[in-house]
Amino acid sequence: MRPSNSRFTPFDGVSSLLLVGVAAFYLLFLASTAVYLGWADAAHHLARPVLWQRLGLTLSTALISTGVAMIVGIPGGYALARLPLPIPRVLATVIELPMMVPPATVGVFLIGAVATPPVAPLLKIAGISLGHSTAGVILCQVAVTTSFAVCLCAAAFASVPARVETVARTLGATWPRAALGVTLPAARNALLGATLTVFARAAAEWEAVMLFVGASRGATDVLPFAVFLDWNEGMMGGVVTMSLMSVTVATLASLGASLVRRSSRVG
Amino acid sequence: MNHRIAAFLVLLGLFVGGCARQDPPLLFHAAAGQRSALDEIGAIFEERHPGTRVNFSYKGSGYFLPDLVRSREGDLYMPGEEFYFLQARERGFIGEYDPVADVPAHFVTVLITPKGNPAGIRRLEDLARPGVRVGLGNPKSCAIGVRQEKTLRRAGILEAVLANTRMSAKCIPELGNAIQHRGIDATVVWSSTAALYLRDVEIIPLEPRHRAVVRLPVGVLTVSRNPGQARLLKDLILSPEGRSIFERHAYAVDPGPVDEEGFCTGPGPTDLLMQRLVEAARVTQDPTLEVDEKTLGPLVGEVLRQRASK
Amino acid sequence: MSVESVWFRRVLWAQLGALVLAVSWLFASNLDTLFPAGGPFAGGILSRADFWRSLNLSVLSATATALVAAALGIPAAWALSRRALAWHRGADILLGAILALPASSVGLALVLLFQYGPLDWLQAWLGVRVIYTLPGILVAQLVLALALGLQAWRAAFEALDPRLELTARTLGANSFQAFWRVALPAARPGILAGLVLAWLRAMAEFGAVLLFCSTFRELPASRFGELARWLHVDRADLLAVAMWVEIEFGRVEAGMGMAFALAMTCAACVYLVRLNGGRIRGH
Repeated sequence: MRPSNSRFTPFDGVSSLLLVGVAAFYLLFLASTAVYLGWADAAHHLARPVLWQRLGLTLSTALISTGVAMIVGIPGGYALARLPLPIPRVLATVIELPMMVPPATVGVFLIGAVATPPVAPLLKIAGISLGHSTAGVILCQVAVTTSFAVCLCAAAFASVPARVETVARTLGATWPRAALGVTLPAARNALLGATLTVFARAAAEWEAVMLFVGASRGATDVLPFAVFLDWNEGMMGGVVTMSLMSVTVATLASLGASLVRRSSRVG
Repeated sequence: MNHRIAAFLVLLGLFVGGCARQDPPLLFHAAAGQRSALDEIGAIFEERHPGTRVNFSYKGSGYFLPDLVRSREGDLYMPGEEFYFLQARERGFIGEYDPVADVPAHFVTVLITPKGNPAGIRRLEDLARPGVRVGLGNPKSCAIGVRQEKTLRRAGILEAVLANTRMSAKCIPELGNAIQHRGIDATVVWSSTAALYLRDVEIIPLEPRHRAVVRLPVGVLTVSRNPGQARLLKDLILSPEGRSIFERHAYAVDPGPVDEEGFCTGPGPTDLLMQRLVEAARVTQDPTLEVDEKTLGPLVGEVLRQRASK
Repeated sequence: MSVESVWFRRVLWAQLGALVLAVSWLFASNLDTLFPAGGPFAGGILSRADFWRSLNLSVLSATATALVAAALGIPAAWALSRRALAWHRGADILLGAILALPASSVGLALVLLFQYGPLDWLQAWLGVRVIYTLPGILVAQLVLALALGLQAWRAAFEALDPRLELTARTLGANSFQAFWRVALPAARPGILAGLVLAWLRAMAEFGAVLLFCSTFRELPASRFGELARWLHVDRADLLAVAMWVEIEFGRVEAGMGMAFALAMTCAACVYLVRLNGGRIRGH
């Protein structure tokens, strides 16, 4: 928190106005979907089972994708945060790239990635077809969120000072033991926050799905994708209700991540 | 931590295994404008044939051929105009085609504006008036785009209307949405699309010489892996029951007299469809008016549905 | 150094190596699509004028968006950093929620915001419409770019040593001077990183633009204003949108070429920031 000062200048006024204006805009933005719809219409559409099926599909695929992303992300993030040598810039750029490019681009690259060895023969052996299937959706979500998970976990581990581990090691613990027994629990809240943020991102993913998997009712129409698909149906009510569901999921995840982060005080 | 990893791996395995064992549904390539009617027919088919699922792939008609050539997948095909059907037939994707029996219904063009008609559009020629924000379909992507171009060219106002164009839609529902949100002042769409937006549009029938009636053939693809079931679905679409569903969504089953380009040459059954459509919009927008099956005909269902909610 | 330590370090390096390998392979496995047998490189997009206009539009709009975001967001982030804790928590939640929104919901909310309610009346009164126009692209990109920038800039100001500003104050500076001459230069790496993040986020915008602006490529040139034509952004879609259109039409080589163009532009940007010592830890 900055020191407050009694020397008020026009700049204070302008910057405060901008702050309030931006905050108001974003609040209005979040609320506009609900305001447009109204209770009666919302209730009418929430009674349709297909919306809940889609919500279930979205949440379950996002859950699995988050799991995979965190399984890669926690060790990877730890490595990024703790390795004594700085990572070469080129490698760091490569690791960050999937979360910097448009997700639609990731979807396009997946087209070629699964058609080339060694992945293509593996898929054939396993009998998995990725087009128009839920497995394809999960793959898209994983591809888009894994980099993000690695970087968030790296930030989480970086917030735990290295000396905590060094102390543990001087007390006789081996490095793996120090990492698992000391650093991991200390970073637990930040990691939980990271998990929630990654989950929100996975649940919001649809552009890669659209380009890579294609639409298939019941199998690939996760909520954000369904909003885009049903946008072309004319019943705004259904579209807006689904969008409202997506917004709610995003807001709850963000709220959860904030609360969890706040309750950690390390370093 | 180990438990969590194990649990996720198990879930992943189950999901992946489950996906690998799915029975392939019938893949139906259909024009975006067909959605309202075909969704209903598909649901009836699934009810009657439990175990078979129909997966509709709705696109702008211009995208079908590249998709078919690349994926070589699909069981049924019903584009937004006969031209696309013949194109696929030329490439060997369609076998036999009976131009009379294989056409369950027709699209009819109509002018629509946002509710209240802010630009005061009365006829097709008004689209050329300076300052009017027009929406057109992309002729490369959707059947309505091709038909709009033909109509405007015949009327001699294509250049003027192009100068007024605010948006180039890749599929017809984009145009409907743009009208609904008052992003454009007017456009020409199929009557079946107009019937989806009864709450928010004003319907302006085109004069017969500007009004197009487009044939919509349906066929089983030669690359189909399940031609038996596909043929059953096609039969349902062509049956009287299927045709009545098309009528309920403001398609024209009987085209009346048309010239070789598809434009009306005189009074016909489409006049009644237009009357009913105008009436349907009026009744949906005014809750005090009574819903009368005599004036609305088969559109009664749509009116009631759209009166119920947004 | 114990045996376990050495072994552990190797495992960590191996993990990083695997990650780098996987990401590289994601991109590299598509290189062969760029060289189709019996066809031009990348489907011939390099000789297509609309490809260059699309690239132009993407870069120019992202830059414009980033600049507007900076003009709005840096002072706002400064004001935020001086507020009470409750403001910070609220900002955390609000910005986090906005950034977690799917692009389709963002686009839908923009349509609802601009076509219904107070903004609708404002536009009718002013006689302008934002939807389906090129400036609409800026608006769609700004929503998320500004949110990301705000997060980064607030963090940058927060990380400053409070004694710096205190000293400036005791030496007689008012709040604007404290901001302009002390805080801003001191936080420069973080400010620049936020700017780049905003730029990258604007480049990555796709879904919201699709719903709010539709496509522009097939419209006649007469439909665009002088400025758009002079900047060579008329009759073009954002590169990401153009890529999608190519894929939809089955022209996979062209779509892949555009995807690579996008990936290389973003990679160059990220690398440049790292060269200058900044770090990117964003979305």
